[in-house]
Amino acid sequence: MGLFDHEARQFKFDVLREVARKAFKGTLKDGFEDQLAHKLIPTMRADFRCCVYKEREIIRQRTRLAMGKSPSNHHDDFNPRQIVKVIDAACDGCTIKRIQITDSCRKCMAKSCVTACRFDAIAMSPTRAMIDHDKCKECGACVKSCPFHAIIETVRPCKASCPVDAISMDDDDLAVIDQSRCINCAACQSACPFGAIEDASWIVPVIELIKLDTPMIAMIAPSIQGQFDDATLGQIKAGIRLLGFKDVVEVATAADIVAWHENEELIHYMKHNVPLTTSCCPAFVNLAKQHFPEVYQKNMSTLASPMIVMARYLKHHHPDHGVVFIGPCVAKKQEAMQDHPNIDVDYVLTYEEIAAMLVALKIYLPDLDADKSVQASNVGRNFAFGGNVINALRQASPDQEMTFLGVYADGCHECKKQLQLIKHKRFDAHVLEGMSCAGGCVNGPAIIDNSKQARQRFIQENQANTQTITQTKATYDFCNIDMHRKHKGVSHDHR
Amino acid sequence: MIIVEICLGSSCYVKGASNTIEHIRNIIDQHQWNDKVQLKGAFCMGGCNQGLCVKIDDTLIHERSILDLLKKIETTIGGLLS
Repeated sequence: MGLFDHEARQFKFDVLREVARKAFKGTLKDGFEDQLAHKLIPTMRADFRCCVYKEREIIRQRTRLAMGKSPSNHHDDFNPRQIVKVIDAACDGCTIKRIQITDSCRKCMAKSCVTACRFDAIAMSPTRAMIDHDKCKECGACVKSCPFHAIIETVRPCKASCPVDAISMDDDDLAVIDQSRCINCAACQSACPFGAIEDASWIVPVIELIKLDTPMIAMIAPSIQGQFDDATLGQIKAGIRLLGFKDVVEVATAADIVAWHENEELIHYMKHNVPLTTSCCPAFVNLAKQHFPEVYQKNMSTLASPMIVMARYLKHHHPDHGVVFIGPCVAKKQEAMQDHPNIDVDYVLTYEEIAAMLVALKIYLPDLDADKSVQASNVGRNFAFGGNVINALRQASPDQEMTFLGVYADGCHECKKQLQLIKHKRFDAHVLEGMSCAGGCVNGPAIIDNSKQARQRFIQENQANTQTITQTKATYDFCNIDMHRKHKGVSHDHR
Repeated sequence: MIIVEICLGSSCYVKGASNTIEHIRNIIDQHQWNDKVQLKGAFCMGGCNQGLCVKIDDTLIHERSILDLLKKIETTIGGLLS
C-alpha cells in the first residue's frame, strides 16, 4: 500500500509495518535491523542513494528507531526525552551555500550584483558572476538586485524549518540537534526531503503489552477523523479495538471539559489584566518553557492538556489499565514522559504507527462494523483545527455574553512572535492560542492524509453530531480529576 | 498462582525489558512451572533509577543487568514454590 508520495516516508512506514508484524508474531529479536535491511533492499541496484550498502544502513537505522532505540549504535547521549532524532546514514549533509549564482546569470552589462555587494564578494568572470564565499556575508543584497533573479538564497531545509535554531552541522556536515533547545515540534522531520530526521517509536512495548493480555485503553485525538480514506470514526474505533485494546475513547471528551475550565481561568486572568496562553499543544508549551520562561511562569494556562486530563480520568476509573494516546503529534510523546515517574499516559502512538499496525494485522477498516458511540461535542472534536480552542472558549462560556479578544498563532514562527509580544507587554488581546503546526493538529508531523478531502470527511461526518458540551459534562464526571499541569512554575500572583 | 509482572514502562523498555520476556518464559518452561506461574505486563512501577523492574506477587525486585534480574526471578519463584 503506497500511503505516501514521499519515498522516505514510505520506507518509514514499511519499517514500522514489518517491526509491528514481527512483534505481533512474538518473533522480534535484537538484530532484526540487519534482516529487514536485506528484506527491503534485496537487489544490488540502488534506487535512491549512492549504493545499496548505504540504503541498507539507512534501513538499519530506521529499524532501530522504530524499535525505540538510538539510530546508530553509540548510546552515549541517548536521552529518551529527545523524541526527534537524526538518522545519520540518511542525512544528505546538504552542503548548501546560502547565496548561489544560477545558470540564469547572463553576464549582463549592468552588473547590479557587483554594485550591490558591500563586501567585494562578487566579481564577473568570463562566463558569469562568481561569489567568493569567504567574503560573502550572506546579506542577500545581490539576490534582490539581479534583474533576472539569477541569484538564489537557500537554507538547508531542516535548519530553516527549526523555530528555535536547534539544528547545526557537525564537521561532516551532518545535522545535529541541540537537545537543550529542541522542543520536539518535529518541524525538521516534516521538512527534511530525505526523511533523515524522525521520531522514535514505542510500537514495540505497546505490542508486547497487548500480547501479555495487559488491559489497555486507547485514547484517540480528534484529528484522527478522516485520516483513513472513507473509514468512519466508528470504524476507526473498531479497528483500533481489534489491535488489542479493551476500549477506545475520544480525547475530545476531555477537550470539552478543559474548554469549560479554561473559560473560568480566562475570566480570572482578564480580571487581573494578564494575557492567558493555551496549553494543549506540547510543542508550544515547550517553546514557552525553554525559550520564554517568564511567559511560561506568568501567562501559560495552568490546565493540563486534554490528553493528560483524559488519561487521569481513565486511570481514576480503571487503575490497572494502561493508557495509550493515539495522535498526529510527536511532541505528545515527550509530554507523556515529562512527569515521569508520575505517569498519566503510558505510551503515545502516532497515526502512521497505528496504520502500520493495522496493515501488519491485515485489519481493513472499511469492512468493519462501526462503534457508533459519540463521546464529545463538535467543540471538543474541532480542537483538531487551529483557532478552535479560542472558539471553544467562546462556546464554553456559561455566560453567553462574555466577550474577549483572542489571537491565534498559526505555526511555530507565529507562536514565537506572539510570545515575544507577551514578554514585552505589547500583546493586545486576552488570550493566545498557540499551535506549533500551521493549520492545527490536522497538519501534525505524523499525519497520514492532510488533503482537503480528509478535512471534508471530518466536517461532513460531524454534521450529524448534536452532542453539546453540557451533555458531555453531564455524562462524564471529572469532579475528582486533577485538571492542572504538574509543572506549574510559581503559583500565580498577578502583578 | 504466582503472578510475575514485567515492567514495560518507557524507562525499563529502553533498558531492554522486552528482551527479558522470552528469557523468563524459558525459565518457566525449564522448571515446568507453567501451571503455577502467570506472566503479565505492567506499567511504570517507579523504580526507574534502580534498573529493570519486576514484581513477583506484589514484591518489587530490580536489577541493573538482565542476567542478574533473571537469576533473581528464578530464585524468588523457586523460593515461593518450595
